[in-house]
Amino acid sequence: MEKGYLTIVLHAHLPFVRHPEYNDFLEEDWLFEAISETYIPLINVFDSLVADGVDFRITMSLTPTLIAMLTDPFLQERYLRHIARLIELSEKEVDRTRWQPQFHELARMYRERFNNCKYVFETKYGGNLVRAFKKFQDMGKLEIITCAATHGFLPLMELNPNAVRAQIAIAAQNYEKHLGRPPRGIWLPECGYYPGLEEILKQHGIKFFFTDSHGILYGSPRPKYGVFAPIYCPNGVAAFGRDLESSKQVWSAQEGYPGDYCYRDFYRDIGFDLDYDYIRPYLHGDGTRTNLGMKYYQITGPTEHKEPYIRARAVGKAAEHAGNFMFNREKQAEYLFSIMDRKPIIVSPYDAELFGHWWFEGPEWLDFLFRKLHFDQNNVRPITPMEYLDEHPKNQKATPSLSSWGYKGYAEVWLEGSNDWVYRHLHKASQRMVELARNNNPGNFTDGLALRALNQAARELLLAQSSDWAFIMKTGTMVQYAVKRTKDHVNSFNALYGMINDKKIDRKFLEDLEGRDNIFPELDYKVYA
Amino acid sequence: MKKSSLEKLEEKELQELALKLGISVRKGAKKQEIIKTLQSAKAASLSTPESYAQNKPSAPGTGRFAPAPQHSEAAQPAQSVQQAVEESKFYTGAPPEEFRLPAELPHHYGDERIVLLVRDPHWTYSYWEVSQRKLEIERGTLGKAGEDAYLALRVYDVTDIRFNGKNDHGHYDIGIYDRVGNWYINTGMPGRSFIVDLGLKTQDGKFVTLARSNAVRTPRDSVSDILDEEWMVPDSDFERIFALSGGLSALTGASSADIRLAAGGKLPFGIASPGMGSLALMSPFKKKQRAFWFVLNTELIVYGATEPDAKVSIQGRPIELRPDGTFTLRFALPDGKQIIECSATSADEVETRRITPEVTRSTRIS
Repeated sequence: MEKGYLTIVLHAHLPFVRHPEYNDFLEEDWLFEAISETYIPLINVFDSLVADGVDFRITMSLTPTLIAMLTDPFLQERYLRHIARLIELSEKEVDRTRWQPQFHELARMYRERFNNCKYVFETKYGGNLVRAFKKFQDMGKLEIITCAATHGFLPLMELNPNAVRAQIAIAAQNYEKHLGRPPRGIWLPECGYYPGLEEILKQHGIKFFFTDSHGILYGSPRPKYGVFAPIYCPNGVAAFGRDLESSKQVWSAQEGYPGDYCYRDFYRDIGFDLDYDYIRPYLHGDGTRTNLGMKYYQITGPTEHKEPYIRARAVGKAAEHAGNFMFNREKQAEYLFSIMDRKPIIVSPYDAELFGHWWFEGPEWLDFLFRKLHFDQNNVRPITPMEYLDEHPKNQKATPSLSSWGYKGYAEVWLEGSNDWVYRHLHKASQRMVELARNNNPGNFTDGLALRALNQAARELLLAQSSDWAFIMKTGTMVQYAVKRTKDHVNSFNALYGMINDKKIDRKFLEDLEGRDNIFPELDYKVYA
Repeated sequence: MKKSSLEKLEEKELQELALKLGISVRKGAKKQEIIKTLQSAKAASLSTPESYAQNKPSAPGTGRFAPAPQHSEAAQPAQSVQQAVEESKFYTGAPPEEFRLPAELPHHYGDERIVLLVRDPHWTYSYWEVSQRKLEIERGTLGKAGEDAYLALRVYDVTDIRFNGKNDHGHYDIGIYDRVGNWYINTGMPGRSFIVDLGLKTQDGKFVTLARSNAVRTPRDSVSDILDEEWMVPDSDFERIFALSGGLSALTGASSADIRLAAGGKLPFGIASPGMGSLALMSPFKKKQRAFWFVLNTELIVYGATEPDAKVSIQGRPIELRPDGTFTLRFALPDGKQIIECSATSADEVETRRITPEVTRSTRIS
């Protein structure tokens, strides 16, 4: 009989990036890389676990923006173009490395992986990976949860409850459309919670969410079991807290698994290592060197000199790390069980893109972990939050504390010198959107244009609200793109706002926006009223 | 913009300011050049350098009932791996792109408005705007005292009360410069509620409210004192569970977590829980390159031509010909001797030609 439970949560998210107005667009690679390196490898892990009779449980968010992109025919086409190029390049690499056995083996591995991506994406799931995840949900192995519509950081939106409500309502609607039933749980963007948010969650049928550890620990009244049991908000929505110990084993720069020297190095990429003329055809239009996804070296150590990657050794290490993780969870559960009068639940949330994209061997680690949990022990049982709540419906009532999982635990990542200027505009646009929704009724329209403009205004507002833009401005990766996106969407919103009020809609302008920012076609602007 | 105030900013801050104002600055421009560009730019400014400099959260705490900041801003560079992973989603290896920036957003919206947001248990952030007209009217009603009255923020502690403008637990004022601006306010008081008024303050201390903010509550930064009787567990047990919540190692390694708990019920990792740690090794963005370096590789290109329908193989492996019968292959060339047996066989398999170049690479490094 188990002594405790383990809930692995994967948060899969990318902001909506789709630029049909360009022949190719660098930032679309975010999605393509995540598909090849994370989503497809995870799907393959799930498939192999099912095939081998391993009874696993994973809780995974698919954010509405990610679902919108994964189900978009235009981006599906572009992914196929992207993977076809990589297959071609990997074939050349297999030839080129013929006299270097270590690299040759890796080139063949990549060729096989890319071909597998094409097969899984195109043949097996018909271009729509959401179907793959849904399959595992329907089997009861995967609990797919939703997220706010465009990953808006909700604590900084609290000012305008209608804007928060729209983020949740549109997410729930989008979830049901693609997954065939309403969502039961939510991953709050950046784990950002503020007291009172649960009211809006409840209105949309959400039964549970997650907070960072201090969100539960600093809850009030003081939660008896810390993060090792969920609490019910006063309205009955459950909050699960993140376990720090298991997080640290993966996230810590010093002790974390992904930093192991024999794992693949993320930064050494043939896009930078090889002769320019040779790789030029595989770079973007402007010819700037970028990562191409074929990486031949291991982390090696804190040195510039890198040794070739040895796949078999790295996979062996992933198995070792999975065993270590399981051992620690067993000890943790045993000990907690001895001092608690109920079975503890250990909640370990991670960015899904950690697995495969950043930590190349991450999917293998997950695979080994669930096999070991299934075959090698009885102390810890993988569980989803809903299963836990079904088995343990009685929980303490308390209100979590405002918190996020960002650096320092609150709002500072998204509210600091580089990005604080966005809120004046986002808040104003939210206020204007509510005003538009209240003042305009479909019955009064003389043509369909006004209705379309209202819906598109809501889309522009939502897209501007993605926390990713503020995050990128802060971390300094692709700042100009994030600034551009924020300004573009706010400007478009303001223009539509003016047109709707003046009852003069510029058809061409509207159609351009509809063609590009085509997220949530089912959206009804009245959600803001 | 005053040059003197720009001079006070660091080069990086100036670049940020330029970005913020939508003014393009030549890549690699030095401080003086950026200042020149900024001064000559006619672009409507989102914020003046004055407010920009003062808005930095590192500005000294101004609160009367505010203790010194609880966490050092100097600790900023430390990042969590978690953040690096999130960053890596957006990392393509390419240098930042240059975009034609879209039109500037409105400088203000013609409202009389002040908004308050919570940043963390100790800091809130406020932005505001008030129209010139409203400002003039209010100055007028103050008469003579209105002439040298200045803009100020009044921060009220309104914890657990229905604020009527007078019944606050205490308040203090912060002088500001712009009628459209923003400010980080160090309240230094976790678990309290605040409202901020934007107003005009006369030299003799009279305060006239121009706009009032929403109320916010800063989060607690320690465990709650409120214990649910029904669910109460002995404190010692809670402390052990709490310590475990902060990590098993914290408990087994030493009882430091318990000590810290006793000292105020704070998590053993500073404010937040994410795994902290310097990322010097792992982050791409702060990666230090050596000052000088030299990499050299060799590749060998083998190319040729034959009848388009012939079969060609190199080292026993068939290769594909272009429609015109030509072919090109390239190989990474390691040290040592390569014997490259190439053969072409006619489509009717009657004729075969062999050409076998031998290539040797030997490398000296000095």
